[in-house]
Amino acid sequence: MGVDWTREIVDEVAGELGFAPQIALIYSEQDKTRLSAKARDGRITSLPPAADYSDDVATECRHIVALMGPEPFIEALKHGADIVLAGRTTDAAILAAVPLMNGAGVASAWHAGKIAECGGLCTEDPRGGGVLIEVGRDHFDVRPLSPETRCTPESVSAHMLYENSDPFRLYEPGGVLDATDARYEQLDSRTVRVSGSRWEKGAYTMKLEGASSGPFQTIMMIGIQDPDVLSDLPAFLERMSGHLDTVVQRTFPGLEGWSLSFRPYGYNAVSGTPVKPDYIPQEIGLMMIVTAPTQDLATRIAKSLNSTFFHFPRKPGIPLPSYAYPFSPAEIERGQVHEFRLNHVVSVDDPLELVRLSLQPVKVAAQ
Amino acid sequence: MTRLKDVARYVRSKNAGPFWVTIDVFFPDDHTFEACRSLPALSARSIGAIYGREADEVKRFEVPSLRTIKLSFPRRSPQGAVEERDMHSGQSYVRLLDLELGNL
Repeated sequence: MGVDWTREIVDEVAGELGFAPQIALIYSEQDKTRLSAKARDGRITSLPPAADYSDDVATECRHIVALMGPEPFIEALKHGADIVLAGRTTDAAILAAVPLMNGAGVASAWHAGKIAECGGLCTEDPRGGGVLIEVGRDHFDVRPLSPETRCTPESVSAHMLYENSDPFRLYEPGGVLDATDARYEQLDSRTVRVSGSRWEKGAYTMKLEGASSGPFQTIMMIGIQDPDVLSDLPAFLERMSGHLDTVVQRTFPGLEGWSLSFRPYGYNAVSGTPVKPDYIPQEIGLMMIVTAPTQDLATRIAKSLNSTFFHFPRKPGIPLPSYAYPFSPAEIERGQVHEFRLNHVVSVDDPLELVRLSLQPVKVAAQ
Repeated sequence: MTRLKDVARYVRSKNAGPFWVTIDVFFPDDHTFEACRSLPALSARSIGAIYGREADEVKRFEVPSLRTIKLSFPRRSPQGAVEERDMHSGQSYVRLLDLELGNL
């Protein structure tokens, strides 16, 4: 998928430049039959808050990938790859691979990989671009590539918090990085030296990722400035929602698997929680999300609601208002709902067991 | 009454993987961090209640070197579910800003 698409780009560029590099292709996509066997052997464990792995959940996921460690990269580089195109790895593994291959300290290599995973985010100014890491046996140094910014003990150590539920322990294929006792020192004005982290070797597990492909959605948005509507939005939204549900049931009798959801932006669309007392917005954008089994049905439902959504009165018996559609046609096909389903790890005997690796020369397109 | 936004230097939230959200509360100096770290309002139980989670579902860490309290808990539904309102949990922290800490 992504690997093959990227390979086509590399082939094209290499052809234009007249290069013929060795390309390693590394695939992380998993065969569901093989995972099923792993599950039967008790080698797949769920992480909270996920339920046990089942073939039903796997079937819902169009693709399942296993997050690779550094070993496939090392394997590819040892076989002479000039370019490695790989699927899903852990963020830190791809950066830890070369230091590990060259004999750097295991804890230092992994910690460096984690700190550098988002480039300049571990510097004082993330817009300054990437960072350079130099990894030794028991420490690593990190500094920004841009001369305009700097790394400080705070900017570097704070990155252990980022997108990480535990700021001290990072679970990776083959072990845990424990940075509880890590020391962060300012080496020069722009460079930080990090030492003191530990690597606890453990079972080699790979995290599985998979998202289900669910129903489809079509959205419509109206702007509302009418102060009478805005002065009592919860009641307005409740009446509108109930009425539009009735319209759908009348227009599509017996249809199942659909739903309407309303998101008043400028009010409480983001949180969905009650607003402060007496809060009245000056205007809102009211998004209606129609969810249905197919895109065509979602759009047909949206179209059928167009005029009711446009003219819904704040109370019965008053002249029909018109709200502000920003677009015409009003409905927008948003696509399919993809929900993350897998939160599991699979235990393997060898880091390459579930990885497909092939090494091949670039394909130069015929002139 | 002191609110969190009066004393914190910076508060942020983000997904920690598609099933978890994590919130970082940075305090400006050691003095403020020490004054706040043991407050009942910033306990796992109190924060869990705000987000509809039991205390034992909330992982809570103190990072003294960064003068930071970190709180992580499972999302209500996995990232991308039909009722998703905030794909990356980037705005989850906002409801903590007015959290009442008592009189400091």
